[in-house]
Amino acid sequence: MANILLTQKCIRSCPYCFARKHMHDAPPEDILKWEDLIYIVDFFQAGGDNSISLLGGEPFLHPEIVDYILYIISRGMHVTVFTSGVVSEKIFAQAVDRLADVDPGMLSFVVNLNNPKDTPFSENETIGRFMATFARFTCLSINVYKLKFDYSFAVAAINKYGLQRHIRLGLAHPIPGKKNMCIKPDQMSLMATELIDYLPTLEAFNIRVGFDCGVPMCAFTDDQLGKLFRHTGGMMSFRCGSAIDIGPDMEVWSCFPMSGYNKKSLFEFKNRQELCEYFDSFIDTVRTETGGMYQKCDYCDNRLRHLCSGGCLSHALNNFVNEAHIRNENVYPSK
Amino acid sequence: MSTPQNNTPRNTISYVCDYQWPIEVELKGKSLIVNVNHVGDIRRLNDALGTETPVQAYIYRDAYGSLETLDVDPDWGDIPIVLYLNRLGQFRTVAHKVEMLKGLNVTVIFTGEESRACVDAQILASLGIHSGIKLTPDSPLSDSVLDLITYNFYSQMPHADIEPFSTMSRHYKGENYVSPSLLDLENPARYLHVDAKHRLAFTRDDLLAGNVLDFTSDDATDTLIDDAAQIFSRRWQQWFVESHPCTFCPAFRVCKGFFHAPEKSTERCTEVMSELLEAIEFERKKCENHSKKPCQL
Repeated sequence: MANILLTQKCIRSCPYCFARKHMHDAPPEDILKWEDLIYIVDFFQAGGDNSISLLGGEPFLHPEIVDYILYIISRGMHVTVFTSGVVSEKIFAQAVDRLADVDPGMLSFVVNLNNPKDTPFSENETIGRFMATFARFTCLSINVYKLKFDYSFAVAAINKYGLQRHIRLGLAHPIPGKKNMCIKPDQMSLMATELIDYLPTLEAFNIRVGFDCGVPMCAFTDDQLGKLFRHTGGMMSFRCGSAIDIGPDMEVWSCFPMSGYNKKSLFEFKNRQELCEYFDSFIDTVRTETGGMYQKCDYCDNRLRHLCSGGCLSHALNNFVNEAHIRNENVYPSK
Repeated sequence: MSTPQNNTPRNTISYVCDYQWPIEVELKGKSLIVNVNHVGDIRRLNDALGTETPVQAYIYRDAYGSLETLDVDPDWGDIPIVLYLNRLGQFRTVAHKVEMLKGLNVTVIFTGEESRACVDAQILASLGIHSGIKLTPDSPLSDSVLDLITYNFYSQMPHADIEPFSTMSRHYKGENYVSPSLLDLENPARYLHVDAKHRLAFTRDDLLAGNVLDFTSDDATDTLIDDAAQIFSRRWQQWFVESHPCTFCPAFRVCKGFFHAPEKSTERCTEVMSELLEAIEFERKKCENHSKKPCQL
């Protein structure tokens, strides 16, 4: 499934944002054009995909996002929109008018929710309005970026607005060479313990969590892994691979934390298979050079058996940002 | 809009007329293409003409209208209709019409600003709706047109035909001459334009300018039409006799001087039409490579 950035503008400045470097480097007027959207949909549909994700920046800043969503659905593909829920009056009215009756099997919203205590009141109101209106399409995504993370606001939002009872749990990753708030490698186990301790509360409300990529398996003890296995029904992965992000200028890279590395143009690839193989091979090359986020990853049986990739690649790459270029060139940011 | 080959038998000639005079009576029994002023006329007229007067297409033009605001009638069914509209409009308003349009026999040609028209045509074609853009001798032939040509001939996903390229490609056999004017129903083997006085011409412009044939639709015979058509179809040869600059253009085969205008540079049209010729040749060779006889099982 491809991630398409409709725009690189964002109206929030989350302390953990791992896309910040990418957003900062991008020209603000850059938005995805119709002809490029059609090209991308063709490209991935021809490759057998039946789902596309729209993100940003804030995708709802794109003036034609409602049109784009309906177009992709008209092409028979499922659309997932990753949004902050902060939507202007004008676009919100269009969305209510045109999307409220769409088959929920064809459209999902993933609202990236921050703790309301750290969010301005007007933003909270707008986000609440969005979640209340599109509850049946919406699941929450939260980014854990510090220890003693408060999960309760997500539970409260799900209960208040009647959202889907699933939380997409992401770990904030470092931006190689930059400073953003994230869970450091030596904090992973504590973060894992805090999460496992909170699982009974989530289960009491019939809420399930699913992990985004970048969590190392060894953050959890065997006992915790057992609880997590039961909670997720075995649907958990500790692998890290290329996500395939495509910018409004048709540049493509493997994932946000890797947005400073080895960008290509989508037009350089003949088909989806060639594109995926290229970035999988690139990630493999970098992985071989960098190993995992811990030194012990080099000899870890779980990594050798491909049960775990050793956490997000950005942790490992962060170690090489300032060193002389003595390794494989792929581990250093593009100039 | 699909049109038969140049070697189509003469009895398939269609009369292109405006619905401003009693064509139901005066052109009864003839094969017609009718320009209508209101989309509401289409079904009514089609019912009135019945099967006795076959209509190849109804053409509706609105230079300022959009598909967004057009009342598409689900009861048009299989009636062949060509809509010349300025633009698509907001897709969010058109989206609910897409499934309906797919089930109808409608071709939508966009006549508005070129780059917008190209995008609109591409959107509809990608959704399986026959669409196109209107090229005129004044068309700027921007990169959008090149992109649309590329999409029409080289896209890896199946899509509906895009005019005028698809029709030109169908008519081009490697040795003959075609042009974007095929979309204006300029094909002497297939179309005769007729007015209320029953005067005939092979192009609408000729008809409006009074350059009409020396017989009318009432006394037209196959022989008369055939002779006139032969003369008309050899018009392009005069360009070579006069050594017109366009005849030195590599893309003359798919243009026939369509974009020619006095004191106008031919650099851009040469570039774009050469790309089109290359794409059409590519399509033709692709079809030739797939022309094996099917195995009889």
